[in-house]
Amino acid sequence: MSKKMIVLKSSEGVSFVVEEAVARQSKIISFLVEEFPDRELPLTNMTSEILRKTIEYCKKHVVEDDGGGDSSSSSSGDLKEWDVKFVAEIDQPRLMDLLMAANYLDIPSLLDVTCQKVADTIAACNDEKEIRATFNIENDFTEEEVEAIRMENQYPI
Amino acid sequence: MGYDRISLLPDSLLTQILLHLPTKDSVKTSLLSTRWRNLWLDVPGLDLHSNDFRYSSSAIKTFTDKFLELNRESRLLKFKIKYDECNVYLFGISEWFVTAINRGAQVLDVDTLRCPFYKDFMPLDVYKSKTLVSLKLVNVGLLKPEFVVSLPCLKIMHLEDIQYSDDDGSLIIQKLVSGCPVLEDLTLCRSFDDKLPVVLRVMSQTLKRFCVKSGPGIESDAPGLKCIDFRDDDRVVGKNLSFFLMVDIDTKFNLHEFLNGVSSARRSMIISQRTIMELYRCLNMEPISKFHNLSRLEVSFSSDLLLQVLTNFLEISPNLKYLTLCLVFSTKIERENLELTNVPRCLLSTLECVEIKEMIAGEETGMARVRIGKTTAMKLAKQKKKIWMEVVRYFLEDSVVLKNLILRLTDSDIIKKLVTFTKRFRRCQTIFR
Repeated sequence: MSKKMIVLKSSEGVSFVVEEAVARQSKIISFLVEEFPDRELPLTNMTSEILRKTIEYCKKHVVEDDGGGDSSSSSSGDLKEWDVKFVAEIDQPRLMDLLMAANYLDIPSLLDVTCQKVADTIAACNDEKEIRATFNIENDFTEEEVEAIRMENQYPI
Repeated sequence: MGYDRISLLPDSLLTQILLHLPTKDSVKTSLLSTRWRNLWLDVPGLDLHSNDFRYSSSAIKTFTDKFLELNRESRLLKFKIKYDECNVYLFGISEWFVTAINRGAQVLDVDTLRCPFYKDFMPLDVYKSKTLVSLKLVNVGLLKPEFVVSLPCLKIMHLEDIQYSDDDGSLIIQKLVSGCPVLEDLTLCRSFDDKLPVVLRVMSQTLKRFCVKSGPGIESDAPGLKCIDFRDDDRVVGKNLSFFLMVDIDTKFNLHEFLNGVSSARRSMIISQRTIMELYRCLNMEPISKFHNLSRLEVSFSSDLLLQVLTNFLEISPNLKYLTLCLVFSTKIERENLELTNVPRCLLSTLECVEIKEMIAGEETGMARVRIGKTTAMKLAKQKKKIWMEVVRYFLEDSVVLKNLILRLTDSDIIKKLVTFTKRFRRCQTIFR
């Protein structure tokens, strides 16, 4: 039995042919496929690069319903490992784009791993100065303001 | 120079990111810039550790009360707390859990550290939640619910060192499990004084992973179980385990009874060296029914047992496809003769991939390696070489359908020898890693 394919189009107009089961991990695409079957789906706010990454993730995570559990090479442990590697290889601005894409397409597990990666990066910093440096955040507080916030929060930071 | 991409994300996504952080790190972000100033207050969750409030025992309470008050209207998806009863006096802490559940918490995680003598009891509200997906309780007390437990979304439950109010704590566990229609992952870590009966019965239609740590016995009846993971001295009886997909056993429980209970079911199995010893004893006593559905096996052998057991094991797994063999070498002087001769069915028809790795005894358990003398080291090296050669020879010469043989070893001396040896067999690809 041949698998049903659908076409996704990036902001640059590049078409990606994807198995429906793969794309349906996005709740939005799942909805659109039902509303507009046999139509190309334009994703105007996603670049080809990010769309390719998103599809790569979905392909890895698609649950193949072939009745067998041993045919797939990815157990849940392997899958977690793969996820970690997947987000580790992406640079910061693209990670944010991917996070936005996961949110837009409504792919909860991808949103979760991308958020976790950003959170881990923040947690790895020793203080707010290091976080600013890591993410290029400009400090618009004065020394006094920073101290005032520190006092106000009641949390030992 | 990069630009500040993260601050351009919408608030909803930034708070989502902060939700993945312990609260102490989330608060830290308020110092970054005006954009971040109040974001942490909108995070729909708390992840607290009493050690972060060491300077004052009431600080954690003041902080949490204020946070909950500020967000009164919004949802609270996650509530995690680790606290030390001995240092922090948290009167009214169960109010927080009630608040969390009322505000739609999906994750509730309560862990009290130390203080084994007195345990806080959880409010009865934890037995009724429409939203809870994961419940982890460590070192707290559980009361007996006088009503029907209803946790329609709960998938993960972890109960560790629980004190049960009832004399028969198993009843509380049974009530809890039966109130979770979609439970997939259950971990029970028993404490020595939890007053649970010797045999505990767990029944679930949906359970996929079941982990038990320490304690005398468990009886499980879970048709959808996919992974079972027993550590320590458990007595396990598997009854209705028809879709059993994976077993990970490292224990001395009554294997014979257990394996016969599940022999028609599983697809994948991981067995530790300790268990192999026990299993070997079983195999000698009386035959175990064959594992017809077993296609993936990962097993650790101590090199002195290898001879006797490896072929026996392959014999009872007639449809094995993937085998991962871990050779555990010990410094004990091993027997001299080593030859694998018996050719079981799977080698002739199904076994496609074999992966062999090595380990020095002690590494597995994390024990410090014993210092060994020069003569022993040499004997060990000789022994290792001999075993490697024999095992590789066995699979290459005797298996008919083998496609891949993956060898993970570091000893360059043995590698050299194996490379020349394996070149004689062209139909199978040998990979060194």
